[in-house]
Amino acid sequence: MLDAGRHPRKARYVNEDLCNACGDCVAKCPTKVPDAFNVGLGERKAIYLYFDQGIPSVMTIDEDSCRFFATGKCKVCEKMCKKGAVDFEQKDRTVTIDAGAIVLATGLSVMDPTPLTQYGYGRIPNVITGLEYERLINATGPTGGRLYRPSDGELAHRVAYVQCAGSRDMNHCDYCSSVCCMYSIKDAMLGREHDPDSVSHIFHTDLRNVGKWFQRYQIRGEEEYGIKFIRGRIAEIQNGRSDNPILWYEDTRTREVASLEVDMVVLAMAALPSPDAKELTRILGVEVDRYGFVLTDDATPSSTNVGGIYACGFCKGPCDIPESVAQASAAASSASTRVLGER
Amino acid sequence: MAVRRGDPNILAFVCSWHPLTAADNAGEDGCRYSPRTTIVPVECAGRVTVAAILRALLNGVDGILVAACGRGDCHYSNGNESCEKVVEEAREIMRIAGLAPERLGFDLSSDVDGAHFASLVSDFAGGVSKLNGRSGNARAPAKKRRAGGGTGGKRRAGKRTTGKRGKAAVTRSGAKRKPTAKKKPAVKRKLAAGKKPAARKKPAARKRPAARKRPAAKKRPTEKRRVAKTRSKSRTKPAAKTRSTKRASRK
Amino acid sequence: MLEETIQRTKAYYCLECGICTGSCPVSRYHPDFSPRLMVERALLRPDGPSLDDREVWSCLTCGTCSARCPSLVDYNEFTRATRVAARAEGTAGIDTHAGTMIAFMELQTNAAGERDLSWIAADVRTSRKGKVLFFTGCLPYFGVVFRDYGVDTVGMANSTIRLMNAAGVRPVVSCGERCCGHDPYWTGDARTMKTLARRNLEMIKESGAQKVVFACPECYVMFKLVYPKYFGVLGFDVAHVTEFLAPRVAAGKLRFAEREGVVTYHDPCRLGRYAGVYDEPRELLAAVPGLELVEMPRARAEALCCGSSAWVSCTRVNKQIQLERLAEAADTGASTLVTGCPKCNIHLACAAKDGDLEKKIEIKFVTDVMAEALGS
Repeated sequence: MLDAGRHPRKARYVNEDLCNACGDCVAKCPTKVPDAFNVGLGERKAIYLYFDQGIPSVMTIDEDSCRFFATGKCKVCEKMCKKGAVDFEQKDRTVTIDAGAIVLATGLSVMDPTPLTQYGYGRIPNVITGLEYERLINATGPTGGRLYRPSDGELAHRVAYVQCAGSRDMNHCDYCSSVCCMYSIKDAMLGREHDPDSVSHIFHTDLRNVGKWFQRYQIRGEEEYGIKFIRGRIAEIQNGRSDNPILWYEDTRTREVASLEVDMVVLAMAALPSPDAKELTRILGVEVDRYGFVLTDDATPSSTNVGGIYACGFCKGPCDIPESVAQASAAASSASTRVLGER
Repeated sequence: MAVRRGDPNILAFVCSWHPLTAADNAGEDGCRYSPRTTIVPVECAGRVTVAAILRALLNGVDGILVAACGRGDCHYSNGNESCEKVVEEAREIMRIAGLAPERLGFDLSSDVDGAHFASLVSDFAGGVSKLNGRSGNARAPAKKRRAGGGTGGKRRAGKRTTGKRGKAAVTRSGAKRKPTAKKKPAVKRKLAAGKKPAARKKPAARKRPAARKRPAAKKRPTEKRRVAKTRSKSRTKPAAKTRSTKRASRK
Repeated sequence: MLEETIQRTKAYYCLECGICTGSCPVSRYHPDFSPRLMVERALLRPDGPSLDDREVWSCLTCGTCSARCPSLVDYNEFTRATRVAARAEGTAGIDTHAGTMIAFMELQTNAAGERDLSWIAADVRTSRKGKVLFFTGCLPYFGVVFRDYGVDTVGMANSTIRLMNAAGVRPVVSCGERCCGHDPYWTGDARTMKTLARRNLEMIKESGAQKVVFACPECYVMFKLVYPKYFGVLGFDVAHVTEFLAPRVAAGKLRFAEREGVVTYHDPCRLGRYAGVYDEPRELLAAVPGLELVEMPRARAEALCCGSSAWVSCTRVNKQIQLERLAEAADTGASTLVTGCPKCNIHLACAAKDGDLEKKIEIKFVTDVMAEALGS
């Protein structure tokens, strides 16, 4: 059995037992900062809820941007809180937990698009990543689900999806991220649901929608949502007139080199292991492969090389939500078998 | 005329209009000139390229003579003048490459007299053999030049009508160069046959224009064309389109 | 015949994704040319029809496809090997400039004597022996051919030496120098390249130079990447003139006078994608006070090719690529397009001379710009 784990716990300056996330403090907080959850597309206050469905549903004060921590004056939130939950006296502390097993579920991060200079992310304003699109099209996102372009705030009707941006590319990530084909189809469907004039093009290498009903989903996207699938990886993106991105590609079916002008481009960036996973696996002594994914045995897919440490989800390698859930169940039952003993 | 050791190896690009007529006449008249001269007829001197000149040098000729029609006499309006530019460019390139520009001779003349051609070649050959005398050229010592000789430059062998591959050629320094194993292309064989001016005698059966033997200082193009026609049946140039009429119509 | 090439260039990794053809500047204007189909055909029939394909001579070997290929297929090497095979079968591309360039390069294999050095300007200083050698390449030859194009390549060579002088270096300029063999090599004539290379290496060994500086990126990559493949370790350092000067400028050895103007920099394929030199030319330009450097949208690794290479196959397509690049440069608002390669300068100047451009832009070689700005 594992000894114990030390778990550093950051002070959130809000009493978790008292806060009911009513939002009075947020309404009055004078400091605005870019919202990391909305990948910087929207703003949040210095006291904030990380995201709406977050658990526990408790406010947090961001020490780095809070006016009180910077100037020693303010404490507006403390005055506003009817529950008296704000507590500037909280300190960071280390919690020691005795655990019988550890389950690694560190998830994924996405590749930085800037090394793909041919796609011009950062240089061409209307080239965004899949994650940014997810926030824009989300009803609770910074634009309330409307697809406003970053360049001029106009609605984007023509959207192109660039698959395998960094994935299946020996210059970057030579594995398939496995989820992009499906989420791009979903994104394109959402686009049409939010805007009947929306036209979506998905430029793919091969559509790898391998799963139950996935193929049917693609066909539905094509037939009901008018998504156009073009086989050919995007070679480069240029910035056209009025910041409309122009995509250059070879349609490998017709063998023609062509260009397409759209309002917005969505890059389906390669998915990587979470950046913190590297340090965590090093501390735990867990073996990882050359990409940083936790190595597991095919026969015992939840177990790592260290007894009592299990892994599930994207930290083991690319997988989608249903598969992550199944893996999580497997890892949890493996962990409980170890802690409770076999029956 | 026997080939003597040390005779320069000359390649002459000769325009098929006035200069080639002169060369023909030189043969007919039995004029004597440098025996190691290979005549390459070109439709017009304007067709001679810098590359052709340089490749000839690469393949071991000692001197290149380009004979064009006299100023204002080009059948194609300005081939001789563009040739002059090409020669100028080639000479500059030769100078940079460390080859004496005098190895490239150029003549603009509409004189169809055989004696003119013979003296042109002889004078040029004389100049070239003087260059050969001082070991090739002003800059490069002969033995250095020969190091690694014959490597490269066989690009598109057989497609060009320059050089004298397949025969024992004498280099500028006078040393025998080994004949290359390359098969002699058909074009060359034809050229080799017509190499010696004495052998250029035309078959007796061929009709010769009466006025050909002693042409006026400047031969009329129509007259010359008849000569050209007898030389080869494939040459079909419309008689009506003389240079003078063409010029007139332009004005 | 191409079986070995397929193995060596890893062409069998091809995903048929089309990035190469989509990236290819030639394919955009010339539908018959497709790097993907070239590889595809070779994979299907390694000894078959790709040799009959005259489009093998249309490739610019600019390396955009190779740089982007997700399977790391080396298209440039594939093209070159195919050209070697095509040449062995007796086919060849159409030489530009009536074959003058290739002819004077071949001439240097044996017939040429010692190079004439009278092109060196009176005010520049060179030496017979020394640690640093300046490899001039074809610049004196180009001076003859491209005089009418308003491109002074001899001036480029002189300005390069002038800058080296200003940095306190009197480079060796050897009359025993030969062409580097870049163009024969890329048109599939490795034998000529090897002959020339041997002579150059011999010459440099005799000179005792420990560092060889190049103005032309093509010579530079030949020495840096290709010669070692054939001759092993060279025994001396190589540097492009921008690489040679940048640290000296940073150390304050060279000073530049104030120059007004907006310039943009064109990354040559050889210097950029092949040798990875992107920053040094920009550092040099930034060292001139008052000179503003603006970037084209396609810069650095994404730079568009100057549209012609190895003096083979220059058609309407190549001209269109050049005009596209010039328009892109003019759109930045720059008055001068600075190139890092004399050949890019020649090709773009040629297009600027012929083509109908909406906006004119001056084209200059990097050392010319720098030498003009030399001052206190």
